[in-house]
Amino acid sequence: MRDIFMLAAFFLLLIPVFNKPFIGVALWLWAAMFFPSAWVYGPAQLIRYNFVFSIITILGVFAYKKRAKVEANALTILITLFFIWSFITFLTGQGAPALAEYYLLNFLKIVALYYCAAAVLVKKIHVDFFIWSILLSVGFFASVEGLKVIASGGASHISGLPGHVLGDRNDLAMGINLSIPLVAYLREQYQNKILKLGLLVVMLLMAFCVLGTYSRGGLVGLLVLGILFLMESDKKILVILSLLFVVFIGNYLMPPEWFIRMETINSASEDGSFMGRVIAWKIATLIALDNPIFGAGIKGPENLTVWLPYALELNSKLTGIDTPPPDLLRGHAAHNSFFQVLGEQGFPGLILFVLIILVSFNKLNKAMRFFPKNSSNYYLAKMLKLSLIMYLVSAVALSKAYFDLSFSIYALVRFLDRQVKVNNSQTIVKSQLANI
Amino acid sequence: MESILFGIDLGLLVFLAYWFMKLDNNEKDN
Repeated sequence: MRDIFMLAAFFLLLIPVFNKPFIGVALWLWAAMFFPSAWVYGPAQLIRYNFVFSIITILGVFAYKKRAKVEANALTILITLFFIWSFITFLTGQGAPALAEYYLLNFLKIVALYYCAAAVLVKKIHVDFFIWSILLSVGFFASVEGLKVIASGGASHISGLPGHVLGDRNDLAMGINLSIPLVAYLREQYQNKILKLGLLVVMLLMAFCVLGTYSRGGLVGLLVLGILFLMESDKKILVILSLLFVVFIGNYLMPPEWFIRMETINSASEDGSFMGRVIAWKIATLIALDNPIFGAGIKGPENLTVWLPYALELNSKLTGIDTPPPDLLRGHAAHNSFFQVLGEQGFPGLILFVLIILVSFNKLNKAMRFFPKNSSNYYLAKMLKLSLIMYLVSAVALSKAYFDLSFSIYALVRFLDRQVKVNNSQTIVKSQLANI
Repeated sequence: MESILFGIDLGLLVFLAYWFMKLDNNEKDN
């Protein structure tokens, strides 16, 4: 049944993908986030959806009648430098070759997605469809799982599809938290009351799914998101009612086991999982201090031959925060995107990574100052800012420096930056014409 | 139930892809 749906949809989608690169890039992201192969069992599993959509889109970007341009700007240059630096550190690094190659290739695909999205998303409708693709992938999965959380009285432990980029429950919670503001943007674009109500229900189900992941980082992100929505929204009553709904139903639904787990947020220093992360942060810092320029390369810090010498001398080399003895049998991920980049790419990589985020915030602030408060571009900038904050909140506890959704946000920031420039030049021309 | 929702999601995706293609063509004509 699912195979028939999937194959029919795939062949029907090829027509718009061939015609419009902006649809191609959105479906590329959709396939990356939806992971269609995990939903089907028969012949539909044989198709590499992500690969097909990406190849057609890349060809479309270069061979389209009106050839799309990847224009150089601060953000694109920084992302390019960040990728080049990750490639250089991959060459000099000590990551297990097959694993490092796999992750570098994945990062290349993410950067390619950014380039294509930055080149072809030039109109509001392009951006809207791009965000619909996130809603119909991350939003869809979260809504289905959110229903399961409600139906099971909170007993259902939600995690992503095995083998997917959002497979881990913490990664899934991050992806959902990051997508909620984008659904809120879409909700503002339509006047139809049924559609607005439907999108509000999707947002609430997404919040329940985050609760169902039992992710403590996810809950912290959700709380921060609630506060930000309350501060930023013009419709405070709706936000308060939505928050009360999630809090009361969540409080009623979730089992004691969930509350016990969430209460451990307050005693992080006694928590083994948290202290394991602190150990990984300390080791990433020591690696960067010993290799300040190149770090240990992609997946280098997790390689036992790199990890072990630092693990053996951890508390004597880096004093200040006492940690339990580290694992001497295998290296661990940094569980923090900043320490991840620091350990893998040294200080130059970290500077580039931080600059990408800072420049994105700067461009979003610029767009919010430039566009009138009732315009869709203003609201897009506001919601992208919330998404980026959600990324930062989660990035503190997860190794997600190379993440499809964060680079999709950068592509949308690039769109807004272009809109500011286009509108600015149009304003200047109009004022010059008025002076003649 | 999950398969029905899966079908609805794909149906909506296909519908929106054609809808936005039409919108883009209309904008170009104008």
